[in-house]
Amino acid sequence: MSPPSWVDYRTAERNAAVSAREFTGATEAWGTVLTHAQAVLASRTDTRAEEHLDSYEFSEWHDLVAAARILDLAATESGLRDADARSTAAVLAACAFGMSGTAVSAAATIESHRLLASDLSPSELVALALSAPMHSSKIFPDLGSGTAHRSCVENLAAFLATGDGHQMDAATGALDDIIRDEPSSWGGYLLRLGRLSLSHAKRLSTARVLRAHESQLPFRYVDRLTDDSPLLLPSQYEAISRNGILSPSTNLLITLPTGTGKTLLGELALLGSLGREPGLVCYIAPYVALGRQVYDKITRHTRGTPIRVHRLVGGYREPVSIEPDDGQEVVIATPERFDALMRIRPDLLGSIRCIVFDEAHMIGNGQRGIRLEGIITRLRLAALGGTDVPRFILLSAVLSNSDDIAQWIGVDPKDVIRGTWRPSAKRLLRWTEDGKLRLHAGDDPLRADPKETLGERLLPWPHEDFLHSDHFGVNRKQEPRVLQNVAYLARFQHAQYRQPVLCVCATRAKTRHLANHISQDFSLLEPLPASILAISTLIDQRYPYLRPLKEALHRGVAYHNSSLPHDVREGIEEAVADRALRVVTATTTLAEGVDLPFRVTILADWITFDGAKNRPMESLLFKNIAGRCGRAGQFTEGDTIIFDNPVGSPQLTSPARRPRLQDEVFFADSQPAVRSSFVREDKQEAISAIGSQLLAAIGECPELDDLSSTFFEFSFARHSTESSQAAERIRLAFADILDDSDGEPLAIAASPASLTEFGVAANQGGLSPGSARQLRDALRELKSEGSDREDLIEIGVKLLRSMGDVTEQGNHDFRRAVANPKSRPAVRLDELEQILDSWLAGESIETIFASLPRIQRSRRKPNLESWLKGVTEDSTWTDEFAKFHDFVRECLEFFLPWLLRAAQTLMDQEGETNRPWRQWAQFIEFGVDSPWGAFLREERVLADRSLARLVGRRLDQLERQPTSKQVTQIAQETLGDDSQLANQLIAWFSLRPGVAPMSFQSV
Amino acid sequence: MPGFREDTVSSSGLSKWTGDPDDDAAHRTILAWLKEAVTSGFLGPSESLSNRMKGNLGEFIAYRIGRSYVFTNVELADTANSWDPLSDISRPDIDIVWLHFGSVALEDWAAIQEVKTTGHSSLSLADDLITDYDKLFGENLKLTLQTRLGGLKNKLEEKGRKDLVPRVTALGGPTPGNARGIRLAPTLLHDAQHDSTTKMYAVRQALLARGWSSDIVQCWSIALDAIDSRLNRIARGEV
Repeated sequence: MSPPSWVDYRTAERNAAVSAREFTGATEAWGTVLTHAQAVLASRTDTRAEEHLDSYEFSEWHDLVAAARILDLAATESGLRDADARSTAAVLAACAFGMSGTAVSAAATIESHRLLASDLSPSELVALALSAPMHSSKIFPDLGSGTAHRSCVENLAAFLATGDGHQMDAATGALDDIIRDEPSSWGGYLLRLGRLSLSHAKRLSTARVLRAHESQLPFRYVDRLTDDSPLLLPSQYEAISRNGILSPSTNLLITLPTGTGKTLLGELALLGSLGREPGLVCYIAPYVALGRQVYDKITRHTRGTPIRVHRLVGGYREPVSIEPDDGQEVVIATPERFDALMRIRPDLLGSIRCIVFDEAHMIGNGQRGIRLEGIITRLRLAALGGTDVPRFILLSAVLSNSDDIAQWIGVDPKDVIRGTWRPSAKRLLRWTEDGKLRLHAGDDPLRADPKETLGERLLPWPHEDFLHSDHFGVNRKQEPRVLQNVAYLARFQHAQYRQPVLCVCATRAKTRHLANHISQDFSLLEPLPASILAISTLIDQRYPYLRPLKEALHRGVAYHNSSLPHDVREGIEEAVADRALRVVTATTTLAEGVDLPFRVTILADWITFDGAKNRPMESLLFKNIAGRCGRAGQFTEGDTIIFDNPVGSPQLTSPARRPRLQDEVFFADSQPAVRSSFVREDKQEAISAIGSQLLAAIGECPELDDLSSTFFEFSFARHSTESSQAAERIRLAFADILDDSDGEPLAIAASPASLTEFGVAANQGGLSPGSARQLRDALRELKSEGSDREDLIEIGVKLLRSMGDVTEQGNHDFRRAVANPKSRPAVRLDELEQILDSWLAGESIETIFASLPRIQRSRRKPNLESWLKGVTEDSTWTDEFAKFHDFVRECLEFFLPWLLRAAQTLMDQEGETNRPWRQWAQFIEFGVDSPWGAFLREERVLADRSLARLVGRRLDQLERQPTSKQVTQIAQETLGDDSQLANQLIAWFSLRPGVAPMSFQSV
Repeated sequence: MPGFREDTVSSSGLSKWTGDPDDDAAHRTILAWLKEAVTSGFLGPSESLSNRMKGNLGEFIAYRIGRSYVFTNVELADTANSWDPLSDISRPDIDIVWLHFGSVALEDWAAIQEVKTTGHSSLSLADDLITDYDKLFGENLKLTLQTRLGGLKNKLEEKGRKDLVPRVTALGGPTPGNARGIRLAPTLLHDAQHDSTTKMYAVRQALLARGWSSDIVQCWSIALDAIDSRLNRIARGEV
């Protein structure tokens, strides 16, 4: 039933959004706004609840969503004046969210207003349980035993666990009894609203929906999943009930907005394809943090089942043991690791039943995009050779050209899932130089024009009058004033919501500087939350040079970027998850693909440097970042604020151009189309990366004639407007593979093409054809044939020097060092030997950095020693060290191990067997010259390299598998008698009898 | 029916209720009504009414007058505190709602009756009627018109009249001036010694100033002599 004709919920919602932010522009008082909201709720109770549940198409629910938002906004501190009225509004907001099928938002409202701790009547408690059924088991103990109230909620809790319709009938009957006997209007009104919420619960119950498909899913999986997620989101329900998620052979493209449960759909598709038979399914997650989240969830949901879950992260390397003929295997991998798996274990190709590509829009993203597109193309090509093609599931929140992608992977148009459901309100604001903070419609489904200004407030910039200049020095000089403006905004937003604020910056240095500015005006946190205390202690013990971060942390502020040690970054992510931090400044990496509770995201820089020039941020990236605040279940609203940063080239920032350029990025009517990276990348780099994929395709499709053309036909690039350019690049890449000018082609151009022995080895190494040749040549030039530690260092240095400029090496600064030794890179070629030596000795990165003669000679202020001990002020040492850290991460932890593993395959082919290349790769990747040490690091038992080396060396000396007594003795002697680390190590060993690294041989 | 008599001041929007033929007759009528209603007995001989009880009893009297003389054909009458008028518990709700359904939806209306009872000469308690009606479109959602109407829908369903439920929703509006189907009956029960005309006109004017239409605001004044003593006697079951 529609609301009465006088109801204008859109205007009312706009007024609420504006008033709750203390903006001007509201045209109605709260009383009127609330009346509209209540009239919407009323109209939804006038007919049987089930009649509303024909569809979860979001537009069918706009009125209720608007009403829920209005009530939720009224309940905020800047909403209604009276605290009791706010609390009452919060109760009704939760009910309204429940009525709209968004139980996660009802739960978020209950949590944020601490409603369950307040003095509520039994009927109010029942109404909250109906709105957020996942809380029902928390609520029913507070209700009188033997009452209809308790019976209703108890039966609801039982129904959620079992999906048994009798329990739902009992809950419904008890609700009718309560309504009949309820004396107050308020109680009766709430319970009446609860009927619709209860109908949603009935429909969306995970147990009810999945029990019907239980035989298609792994044994006990439904039980575990139900414990974790008792209710599906409407978008998930629709996808499962209408789109054959659990059908084992249907390819799907799922383009749901952020926070609407794509990951669970991917998981269900994966496990639905696996069923109860042996086999392999794979989930490709391009971000490590995302992969970790998926791994944790699937592990939790499959506990107690025979399913083995493998997490393959990091760079190109050999796979773990996967045996799909004998068991049920789930692999969660980065694209790099999955690529390696396909090349090294081609026998697995036919066993892959289903493969999920999360963040599928990444196919438009550089080298990684080429790899992703290449992998999908290869999997499709393999089917031509008779291999069973796996089921494809592509997930993305930001794909606009989904028809193109669907056509590419063979998704029937009816199997493109384009849900529009939004669990939380995503707001878009812009803070402009005229001192106005404006709320825009953005891509809110309730609004038609993204640019429409809904309201504004005056918030003058603390610093004005910026110059628009191309001159680096001018811009740099202005930066502190820019950052002070952003810091002011961040503090303002935190004061308004008292919830975590994320500031996204273009560079790591800016994240540091901005965190410093923001923290200055925040008081010290007292007492210090445990999660912050843990990071603070970690910094004291291991990273004293991070003292400025520690100082900021004590004020609830942190920066997060790739130059921070891994454990510190993880600590910050945990502190954000605990909502212990007030503001976090970060580069875009934290903002992409992770699920952290930020209420507000401030975009400090809208201009980014793409490696060649400055240009406006890509719309796709912006959409992805903007989706990150206001996560479902955590918040009901999320504000993304664009700071109208005026500093930079006049071509971009002049008052005449800036608004137009920003509008193109931020107010785009539709999502930007994803384009194939085959044509987007720099030509040579693209050809190189395509060549690597073609090389693999030759090995995987030995029967295929005219592979180059067929590869093109099966690629996404084929569907782009630049397809002729893509075809040309593929042709050139193929020609490079066949090139026999040095007498050793990678493949022979018979029909079909076949890999040479060299080609087979190169393919297993995962490098591009050109890089494989370069590596082969470099290896042949090695003079020593030794296999000890010094040989590893010597070879490592040679490989870095000779291969540092290949496309697979992602550190641009080091590429510069290789190309032009006279440049002033962060790491110089003559320092490599010392660096590798210290790295293998387990020395900390900062110690290695500080030991470099060039660094020691520096007269920079503050001096190095002071910086290492921790100076409070920001220092240029930090920037210098960040670059060094990049080198370690990109060259030592990623690239050199890749080369060494590739060397193993090339040298095997050449008959050279005396060097332990694979083990060397392990040593370099984990920065420890001990098999046990590297193994303990790999298994994440010991994060500290020096300790891992210490323990590892003792274990290496044992001639056989260590006994528990030996482990205990070694742990206590090296890590301390009662230390937590020692106990962890002992416990770890006790749970894994017989565990061992691939070799006991130390070097 | 003896007991009360309505003296409507023509076109003024004020109905004056007095005893018929006198206040003793009104007293006896109220007592008879009360005997039907009280579940937990009258007050003891030495007990007297608390303010809350006095308010409940005033609401009860207004409700019974309405049911007997004015709203005789309504589909539903709902009252917050009249069911147990001698209870010392008073629910914070709109006092009385009368729900009428015509032959077509446009003829439907709900009369909202807020009642104040005072023996004081100033009659200033009547001012609270204004704030009570403000609450219908106010910020306390427990007391809004929509909440009250929602409660009434449950009662209609209980009566087996689900068909009328959507028509209840249509009665409201975004503001007092647009609430098409809502009528107001602000009511003051007071001592006959004090003339309430001026005060109730003032109440009415204040409501009109808030946007309520003049044709839907009908004030009531119910005057009984020696009201405090009379109500106490009634509560004890005494003539």
